[in-house]
Amino acid sequence: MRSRGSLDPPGSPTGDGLPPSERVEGFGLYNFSISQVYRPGSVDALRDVLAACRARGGTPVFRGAGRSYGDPATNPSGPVVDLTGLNAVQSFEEATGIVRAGAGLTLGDLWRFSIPRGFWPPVVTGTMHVTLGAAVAMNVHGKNGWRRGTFGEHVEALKVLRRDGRVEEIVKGDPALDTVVGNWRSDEPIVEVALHLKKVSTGYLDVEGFSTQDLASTLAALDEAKESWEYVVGWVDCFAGGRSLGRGAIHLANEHLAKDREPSGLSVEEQTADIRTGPLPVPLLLLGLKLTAKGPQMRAVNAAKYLAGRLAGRARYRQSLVAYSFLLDYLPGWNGAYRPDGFIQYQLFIPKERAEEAFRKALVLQQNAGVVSSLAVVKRHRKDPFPLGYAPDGFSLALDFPITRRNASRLIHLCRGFDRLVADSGGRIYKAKDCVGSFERIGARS
Amino acid sequence: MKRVIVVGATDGLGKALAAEYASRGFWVSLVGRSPEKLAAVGAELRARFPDATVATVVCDLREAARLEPAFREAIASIGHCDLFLYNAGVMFHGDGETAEPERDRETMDVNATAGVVLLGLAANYFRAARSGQIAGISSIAGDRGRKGNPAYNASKAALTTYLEGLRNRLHPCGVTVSTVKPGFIGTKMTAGKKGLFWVVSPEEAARTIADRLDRRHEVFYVYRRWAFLGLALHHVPRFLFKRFGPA
Repeated sequence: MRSRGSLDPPGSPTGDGLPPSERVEGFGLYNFSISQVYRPGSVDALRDVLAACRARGGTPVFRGAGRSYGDPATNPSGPVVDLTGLNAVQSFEEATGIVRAGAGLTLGDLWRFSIPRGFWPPVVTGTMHVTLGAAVAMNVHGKNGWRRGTFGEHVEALKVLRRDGRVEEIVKGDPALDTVVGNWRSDEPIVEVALHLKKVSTGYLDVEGFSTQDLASTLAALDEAKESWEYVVGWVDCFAGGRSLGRGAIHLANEHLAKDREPSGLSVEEQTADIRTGPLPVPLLLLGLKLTAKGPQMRAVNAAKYLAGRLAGRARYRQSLVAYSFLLDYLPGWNGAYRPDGFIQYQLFIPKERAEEAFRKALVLQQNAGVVSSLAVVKRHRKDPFPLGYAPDGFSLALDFPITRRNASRLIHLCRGFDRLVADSGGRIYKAKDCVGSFERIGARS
Repeated sequence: MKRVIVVGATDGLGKALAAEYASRGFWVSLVGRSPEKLAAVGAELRARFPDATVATVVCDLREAARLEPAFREAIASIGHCDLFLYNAGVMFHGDGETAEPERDRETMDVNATAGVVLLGLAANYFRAARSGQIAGISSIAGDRGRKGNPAYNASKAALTTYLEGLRNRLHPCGVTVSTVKPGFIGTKMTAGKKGLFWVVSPEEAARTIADRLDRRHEVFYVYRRWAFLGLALHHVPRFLFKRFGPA
């Protein structure tokens, strides 16, 4: 017997103790499922939920904070189990910097816990609203992809709830870890993560920003900076063509070392105080984003951003870890600006030898298609050591595209072109960002 | 990037609608009775639109027990649904005088009963989604009962009325429900039928329907002039319709 799910009216009592169906969205908004969502608050409750789901023949999909852009945390043919209730910090050893916490704890919860103690997560995503379990299952990366690799490399131990109901601990070095890190499709949820945090002397970074005039200089700047800077990230103006193709800006950062009589920045208040969105209130900024995100104005916005960087020259400033790391959280709910059709993100991972050629083609493909990314981010990565990993020794280019009724077919065509480009270049895509994977390409879900 | 389920997608207008939506970048799930025809249409669409994602679900709409599983399969085949199109329909050409119980029942089963079940399931789905669009291919033939094929008229009348009910039910949820009365389309269903006029090709009809659905029109004909004819037919007095009404 199949589990009930997509057909129940919303909020209706199911009569058999099952939760009502609800809309479960990917962060890009265009992927969703109508699913029964279970929200267990403990491992015991999770065990009961999974036993009940399996007894009804349903294959559950596990969901953290719903920050995957596409469909990994949605389930068109069964229930969704929301693991954000498993969010307790179990223990913290100051001597080693190892924190042990429930898989539903977000990076935001984690840094708020750790920063007053002088520690920071070794790898963080562009949003703090990612759970530890999802960070392992997707093996996420950050702006320090070269120096620190992927999230899984900092996991000291994991607890997984096996199908037979046992909670199994897997420690670093155990080959079983390879079957968990990056295994976002697993039907055995991660319930606890022990993570090795990084000791920091202050909560600030020394940031250096400068502009680059073309793709070769953008990639060269990132490559040259990778050894001497902890955080290395670039932005590319995808609208620029000709000799300016791939022009952009680079932002490098290293830990700001403690100095006498300077604030340490090791408090939540100091961290968040550094998030500045300018004089306009957030609702007005969101309205502005909604009005411009899908329009031709993005060409001017990108050009203005480039020119501003160019005029500013080589800028050096101090910024809190939170303000530097979590750019996506400056405008809470920003993805809503893309309703009703949503948006996609496509991230190409290309080995270093082929990156310039592949990214050049990716930029030209967009311009020829008349569908150009409104925001593009380049990062440098070292090779992901996990068998289910995705990052080569190379670069990634993350591209954001709003979906409109007018661009949909061109956008799909463009993404299929990216698929071929990635395949031809020996690259990979990243499932947390993948929004357009056809079922033929990624394989039907179990 | 949206997803559409087309029920009755192996021939005529349904096939043309599936192709039209594939060309517009939709992921398409085709629902039809014949596995062979479905496979052929799926292969044809994939060949014509290499970027498209096309799935197929076999369902004989006369089998009541198969309807809900088929709906679930169709959803699962493309992840989710933004537009549910009920196009399935049969029309038998009898002698115009004698009722044929088996054929009349099949007409009601496919055109009306299966439509009510599947559209109802889609309505529940979109209510939960708080978005989406439903469209049913009904007919001007459902506006009046005619002597030539009363079962067909009744089946389309039922479909039209059910769609109107869903429209009123789903209006608060932001879900649009459209009733399409295409007029005569040059398909297998109308082949050999006499007295046809304003015949449109399936491809042109599909293009027009997709455009009008995109603009969220609720009740429409492919050619607007059908609306005037429909209005006129609707108001023909009963005593005149009995004597002079079309078959």
